[in-house]
Amino acid sequence: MALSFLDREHTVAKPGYSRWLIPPAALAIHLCIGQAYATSVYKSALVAHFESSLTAIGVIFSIAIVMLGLSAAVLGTWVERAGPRAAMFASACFWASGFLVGALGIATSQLWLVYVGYGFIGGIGLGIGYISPVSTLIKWFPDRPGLATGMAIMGFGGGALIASPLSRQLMAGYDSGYDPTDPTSVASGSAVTSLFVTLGIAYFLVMMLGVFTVKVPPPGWKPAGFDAAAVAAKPMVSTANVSAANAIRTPQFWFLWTVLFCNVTAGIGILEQAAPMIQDFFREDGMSSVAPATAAGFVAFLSLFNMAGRFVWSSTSDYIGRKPTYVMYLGVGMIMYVLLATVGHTSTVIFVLVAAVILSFYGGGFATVPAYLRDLFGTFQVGAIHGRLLTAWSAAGIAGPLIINGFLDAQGTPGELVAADYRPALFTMVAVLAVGFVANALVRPVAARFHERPGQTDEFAEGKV
Amino acid sequence: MAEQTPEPAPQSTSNQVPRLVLTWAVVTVPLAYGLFQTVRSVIPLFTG
Repeated sequence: MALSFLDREHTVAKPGYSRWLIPPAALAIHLCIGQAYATSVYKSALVAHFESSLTAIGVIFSIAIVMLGLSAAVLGTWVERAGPRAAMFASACFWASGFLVGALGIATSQLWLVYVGYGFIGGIGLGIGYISPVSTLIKWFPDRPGLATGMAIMGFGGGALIASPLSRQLMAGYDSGYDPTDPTSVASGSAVTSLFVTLGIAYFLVMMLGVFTVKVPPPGWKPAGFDAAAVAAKPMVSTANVSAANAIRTPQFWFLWTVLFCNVTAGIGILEQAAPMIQDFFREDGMSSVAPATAAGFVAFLSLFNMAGRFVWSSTSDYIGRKPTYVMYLGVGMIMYVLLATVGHTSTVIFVLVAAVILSFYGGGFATVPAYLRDLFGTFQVGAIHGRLLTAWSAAGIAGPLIINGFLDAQGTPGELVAADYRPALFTMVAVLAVGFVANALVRPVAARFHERPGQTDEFAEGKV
Repeated sequence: MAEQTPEPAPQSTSNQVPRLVLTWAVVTVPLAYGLFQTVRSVIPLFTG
């Protein structure tokens, strides 16, 4: 078979293969699919091209995120069985095809085709790509799973940092009338079509680096000096394995689902309204002391902390443990939200720093959860379990904006409000975090009746079950 | 199914240095570009 190089058995590393080749392979995938968070760059161009509303264009992104959660949940077990190379290849094909079909939709002025292309097809690529390297990284880095998954999931945040300025520069190249430095300038539909084709091809090529670099460790492999017994002796770390089918029958899975849902919902509360929020917090007599350019700088500042938090906090969790790390995200997060609501309006420095800490916890929550799952359910089907857990992200993607927009709509229009108008929404986020805090406190080791029998995990890896 | 092939000699880690450098460069150079551009857009937050 021409594609047999994708099979799991062809991806087993030879002795001496450096495990430090695996993080860049994972980053090659996550940096590309992280573009999903840079869709605002061409949003106004699509609104003008299709002569539609912002909401209608926003649906493209919403479909993509829903498909991310669904495909990660449904295809997670296939990703585990087929191996990381086949999964990364499938992700690259879906992601690149999504851009190309989306480009066709823009070129022919068929918005539904953009929904199908970028939203549906691309969204499947997002879901498969997001979970594709997780299980492999954890197996290569049993000594530092938080560091390894933190590096990859940091890439998802980093992908947006690359795609935003790159897309602006490319659109300026395709449309001489578009000024990337002017926020009011709108690129033509043909420029966005060309952008989609360029990104589709470029992302496919970069993702192939991941496909051809990723390998799974040989059975029984462990890093030099690694003592599995010492790791297993840590509290809340299991050496037993739980299948994805059994995992969703455990209360631990649903406690973690609640933890992720609450952490993401709270983070989205800030992310969703960051630019108008900083202007509203420092508004007196109808005039804000924060200029639009400063507000845009604030959004960029938050994206840096969102990305850095993924790496820093997830790596830290290897030392302090996963449960205490989430105690920090949710407990300190509550304090930060209370500070934001009560004293955030007194100083821009306080406001910016508190919001940055909240966003670093938001990113950290995403990056630390695969290692938490490994600790509780073992490495057997951790990628598939992670995929199912990501439905919490999709749910939070709906709940977070609903909560914040629901409260703010009752007060007026974001961009014309004052700090006090945000308090009901912010205190609601404190309550949301409190629910997550309790769920995390309830997490205990998984009962032995859910564990796989010895040998079962090897049979699965060999495709026998 | 996998074909039976002779087991090649183990790769030494030092032989992988060029591949490590190239692979890391492909991901860190765009990331550095993205970080640079983002930090530039953060500047008005502290000067504006």
